[in-house]
Amino acid sequence: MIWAPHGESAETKGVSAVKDGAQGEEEMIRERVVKDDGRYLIFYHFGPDERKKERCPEDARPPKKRKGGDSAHV
Amino acid sequence: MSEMRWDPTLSEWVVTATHRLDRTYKPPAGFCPLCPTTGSGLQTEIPRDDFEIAVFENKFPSFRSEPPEPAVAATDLYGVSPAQGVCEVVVYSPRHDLSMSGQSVAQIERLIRVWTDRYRELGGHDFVKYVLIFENRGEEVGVTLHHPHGQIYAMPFIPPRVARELESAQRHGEKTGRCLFCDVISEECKDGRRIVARNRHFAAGVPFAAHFPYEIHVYSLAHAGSLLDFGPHERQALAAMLKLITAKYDNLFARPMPYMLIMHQRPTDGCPHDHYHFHIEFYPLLRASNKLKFLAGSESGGGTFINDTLPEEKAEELRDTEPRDFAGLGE
Repeated sequence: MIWAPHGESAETKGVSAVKDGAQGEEEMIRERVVKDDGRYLIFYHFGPDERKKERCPEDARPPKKRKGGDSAHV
Repeated sequence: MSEMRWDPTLSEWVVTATHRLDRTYKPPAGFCPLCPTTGSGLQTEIPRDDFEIAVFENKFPSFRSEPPEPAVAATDLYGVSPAQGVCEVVVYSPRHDLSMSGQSVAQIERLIRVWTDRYRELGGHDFVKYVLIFENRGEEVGVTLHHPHGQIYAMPFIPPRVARELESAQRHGEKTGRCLFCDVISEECKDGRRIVARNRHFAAGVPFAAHFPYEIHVYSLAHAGSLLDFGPHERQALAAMLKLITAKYDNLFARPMPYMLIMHQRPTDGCPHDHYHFHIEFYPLLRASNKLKFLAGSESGGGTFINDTLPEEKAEELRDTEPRDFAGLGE
């Protein structure tokens, strides 16, 4: 089962982001993380929302870890 | 174990992917692996409590970027090759119950931008010759996870159905000097009987030789080869069209329509394929509210589809199904 619990936080081994968006379109940010099992996961964020800006690595800040674990397997 | 085996009788690849037998099968809604991970403790594929659109590598892929060696050796007759490629899952939204017909046009537009980004990146791999974007919807199609999502297969060959379209388009181009698909669109728009909907940039209709009773193809009116050829206006128009079509499907029999959505785009094998034309094909499986269209002996064994209906009548039925136009859809 692919939802088997292996800890509750997401360890992001690598994070990269690309901003995209034509003029007149909202901004699209691609945030790429690598899971513990080596597979990648990409979050697409849209719009100028502050929460999304916080996740952008251009701010040199990786996503915050959650309490209770330091690794995840999804 | 996964590998590609060449069928010399049909001249096509078959992919063996034995590990897919173990993939997650219809989990209860409370344990959906595509929902956000919440405080309840169970880790899903999405290790966050919220997201907009997420894409991840399929845990049970038919193709891998670093595939294992095949289980058997090739012979002069039987070709065998590692199944090199990429398989991704696209989760449309954190909502477990929000299918495409229920999404806003703006949300579908975002999904189109994600598809575009994936086509660009995956098609850039030297081992990827075709990026097949598709959605299977409904248990009748064999869907094992109900959370609205699509898939992407970045394949090391051009799949045979697309290859046949390319060959037909090539022949038509050599004969007439025109794009086959542009000619199809022109004739359909002039005739009008099989057109279901049309906006500034796209037309949708039941094909002249439809394989399924309520089959719909969505064509870009201007000649375009892939999502990369579209700007914001085209993306918005395509999003409105996808919402309209899927809403009509769900209203047709007042139940979620099981369908396959397949995006046909220019191959990414390095050849120009200028004569190919972007389109999306919908294959809905219902032929009546409680009757399925099965791929039985003639279709599966002979490759010849038998359609029990007239495409012109089905198109009229779909035109008359709500929503009848784009009003209120945000176009």
